[in-house]
Amino acid sequence: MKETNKAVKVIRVVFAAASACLVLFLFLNHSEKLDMPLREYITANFFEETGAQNAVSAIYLNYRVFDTLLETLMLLVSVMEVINVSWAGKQARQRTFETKPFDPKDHSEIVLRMVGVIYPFVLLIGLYIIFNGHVSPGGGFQGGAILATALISRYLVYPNFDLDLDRLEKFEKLLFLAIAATPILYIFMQIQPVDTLFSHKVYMVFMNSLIGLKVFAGLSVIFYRFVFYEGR
Amino acid sequence: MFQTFLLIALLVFASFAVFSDNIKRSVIYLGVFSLVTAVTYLHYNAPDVALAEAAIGVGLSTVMYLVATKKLSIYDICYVNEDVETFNDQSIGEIMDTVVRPLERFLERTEDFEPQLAYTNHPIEQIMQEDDHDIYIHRKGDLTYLYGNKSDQVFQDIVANMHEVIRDNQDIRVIYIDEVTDSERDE
Repeated sequence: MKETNKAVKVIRVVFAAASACLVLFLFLNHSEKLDMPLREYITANFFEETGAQNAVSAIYLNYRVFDTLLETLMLLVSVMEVINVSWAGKQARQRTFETKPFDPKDHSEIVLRMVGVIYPFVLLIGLYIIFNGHVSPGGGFQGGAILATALISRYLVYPNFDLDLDRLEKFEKLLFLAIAATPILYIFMQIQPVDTLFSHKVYMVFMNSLIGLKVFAGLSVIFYRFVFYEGR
Repeated sequence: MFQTFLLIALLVFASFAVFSDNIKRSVIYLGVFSLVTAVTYLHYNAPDVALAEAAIGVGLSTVMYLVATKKLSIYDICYVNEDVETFNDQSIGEIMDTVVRPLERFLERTEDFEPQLAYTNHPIEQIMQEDDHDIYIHRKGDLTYLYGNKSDQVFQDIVANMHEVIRDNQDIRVIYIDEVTDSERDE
């Protein structure tokens, strides 16, 4: 590393201190106290307008659904990037297909039994969080992450590669299409068969399950890609 | 009060995770850190974020890190002490400060290997035939034997620093397995 001049260092410190003072001065003197019209607008009658009892779901599936679209796009792009990067190496082919039959002696007895006991409950709570996301805390992302955790804990017990990752990735892309199409038709273009509270609720549950499946597929693809295509 | 407790616990577990010597312990501390983070979010009335933190931080990333550390380079150590009649946790505790911790620290700091120790009181010949370890530490009376391969660079480094690694016994002898078997083959 090149040795920096002492004067340059002093100037840097002075500059940093001056800018900190400026920011603090502006923050302390010009921070206007706004009241919260947006919060009042959203929290006043979100249940009648969107059919969600959970205000957060009302925001991310109705008022700010555009944010959700780009967030799901972000996850999709990162999955695609992981696949591209892990294919970029010289060992493009998959490392091992473990074809040997399952032997319980190779694995920890405690993990084996506990995962077997916990597995259905984890699936259950994942599905509950997805389908009940518009009523209680939770939603598609959280439920999908829990479902992905269940699938990943399956790897700890049974580390064989029998998932079709390409198909899973195609499935995720199709789900993204559906996630983009549903709110565009239902919220933006207002193509609604019936405009009742019940139809809003159906829309919420449908969107949450789409998002949950997509997150589940994306996280599983990332994990299995890392495990079976990377490392030794 | 509860808030202060949570925030201090966050700091404590974060520093544990950073300053821990062992990678697996770090991962577990990170999981506990995420759990406390989730409780903190709940305390600040954000149950949605708390759920996401619990699912991602505690579940997904902990499992992912554990699988990743499984793929790390592991140095396989076998500790043999035939003098012990029945092997229990106490005999492990006796050598904890003199052999186990210095050896682990040496491997982690200087060699970038993750140590893994096995303890046994079976006869050494039987173990060497049945299992394949990188290094054998054999205790017999006042003597300590180190068995390893001469081609193994890590074993060479351990031999060079053996008095730093094994602290309670000054009488250490080194036996290179591959040399012994080579000379037997020559005869």
